[in-house]
Parts: sequence; C-alpha cells; structure tokens
Amino acid sequence: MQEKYGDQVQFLFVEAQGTAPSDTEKFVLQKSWISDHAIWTNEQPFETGARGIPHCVVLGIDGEVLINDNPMSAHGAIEAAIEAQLKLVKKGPKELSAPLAKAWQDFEKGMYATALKSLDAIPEGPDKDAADKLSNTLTLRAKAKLNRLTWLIEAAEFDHADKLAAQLAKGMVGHELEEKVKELSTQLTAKEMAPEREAAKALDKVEKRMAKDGIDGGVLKGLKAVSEKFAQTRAGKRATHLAELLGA
Amino acid sequence: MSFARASGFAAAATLLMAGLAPAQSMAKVGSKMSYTFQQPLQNSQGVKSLADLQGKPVVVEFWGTR
Repeated sequence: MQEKYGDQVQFLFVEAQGTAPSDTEKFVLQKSWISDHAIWTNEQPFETGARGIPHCVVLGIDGEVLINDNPMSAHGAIEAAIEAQLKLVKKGPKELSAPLAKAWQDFEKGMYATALKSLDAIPEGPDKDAADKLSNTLTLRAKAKLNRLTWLIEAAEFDHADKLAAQLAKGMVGHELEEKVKELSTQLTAKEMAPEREAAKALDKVEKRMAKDGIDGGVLKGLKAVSEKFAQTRAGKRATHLAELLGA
Repeated sequence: MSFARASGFAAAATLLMAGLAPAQSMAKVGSKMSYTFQQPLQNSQGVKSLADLQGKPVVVEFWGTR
C-alpha cells in the first residue's frame, strides 16, 4: 500500500507488544521496512478495542476515524476509504462554498500564499466564519510543512529538503511564513552545509544497499566507514548509531 | 531513504511502563482523534502530534515484533 500511494498517504506504525524501542528499530531495519512515508513509534496514540494484531485504524484528512478493523479482512474497505479521502484532498469538502473550495484547491496545488490571502479577503457575510476556520486549518498545515523542512535539514535528508524548500519558496511568496522559508533555505544552501551533504551522500549509498540487499558485512563495514570519516556530521552520527544498533 | 533514530525511546518505554503516559481515547468510527506524542517518533518527518498529520489520510498500523 505504501508503494501504491507514496506520499499521498501517511503511514504510522505503532509497535503494540511492548518491545524495547531499540529492538523495534533494529527489527524494522533488518526487515527493510523503512520508507520515507512511514513513521514509527512504540507509543500508542489511542485505544482501538482490538484484541490482537495486526490491527488498523484509518484516519481521514481531518483526523476522523473512518475504519477501525483488521487490515487483512478490511483491506478492500481501507483502500476505498483512502481513495475517497484522496478525492477529498483534491477538491475539498463538499460543504465549502465556491471561493473557499478554490482556496482549498490552490493550497493543494502548492499556492499556499494565494490560498491564504484569498481566505483573509473574504468579506463579512455568510462565508466569513467558514473562511476564518479554513484559514486556520490551512495555516497549521503550512506550518507542519515548515516543521517537516526543519526536520529534514536536521536529519540531513537533503534531497527531500531541497525539493520541499523549493516548493515552499515558490508557494509562500508574500505570506508571513515566507521569512521562515527563506531562513531555512539559507541554512540549506550555506557553504558550511557542504560537509554535511557529502556525509549524507555517503550514508545514502550504504542505506540504499541495506534496503536492497539487507544487512550484511558490506553494509556494516560501510556504516563504520561513514561513521569514522564523517564523525562530526549529522549523517556520521546517524551512521554511528546504526552501526552500534546493528552490532558493527 | 530515511532511517530511524532511537534517541529518547528508552526513556519513553520507562515512562509508559511507569503508567505516566496520558490516558488515551477510544478510536470509535466517526470520532476525531487528537494526541500529542510524548517522545520523538522514529523517522518523524517533523511530526509531533496527530494534528500534524492532518491534510492526508493516515493509516495507523498496530503490529508486533515477536
């Protein structure tokens, strides 16, 4: 399902057997279950009432529970719910008036500032409350994108960071969040980031090999090499962590 | 390809075992879920709460390692 939907759907994996977090991480690495679209936790965000695993809860784009069921038996329903939500993402909720739906669609196309400005410009009248509410919702989503960019830079995920920074720089022009985007873009392109980028590239090579072939002697050797050569960088520290975790 | 980080998770496990985790609500169909994670998520992508995931459908998979 992750391959089918890519970054259109967010996957959150919750380890529900009380395994130690470091063991969970090791397990996930060994199984090559890592992907850019998956987040992992050992912390249960809500109760499901289920007696066994695997179990699945599908949340809609506004956090509403759509499905709470076994992922094997409810596979068809899960896919149908996701498809319906993806349509909703494109067009916006049915109850939106035409100008609000247009703002929603502009936001989804990456025209963040245009969308938010058009909502702020809605005059007093029947649409005003809904426009303010939607403006708050979309502003939070824009801020979540900035948080993601901050995380990508800290995690030395430069390929994804470069793409997101370019997208935000284009779409935020004229909005109050533009300054923050510029600040992060400056960080990303700073000369001082060159060693970080070099280290990230070296680690990426090892990670790709790990995803393709699993964890073998070559991967462990590669992690150690990145860890030693780029010890002071973020990617180097991550390589050290992975090498220790996997027993290199 | 993003790889997970584990910093802080031992502390999370200790907190959860000590019963200090916040009370969780039941995921009933039709109800809206909110939750702020107490500890950093692995491969978090900057996400700290369920609210940060809004705007996309979210598949929450409960699974085990044993």
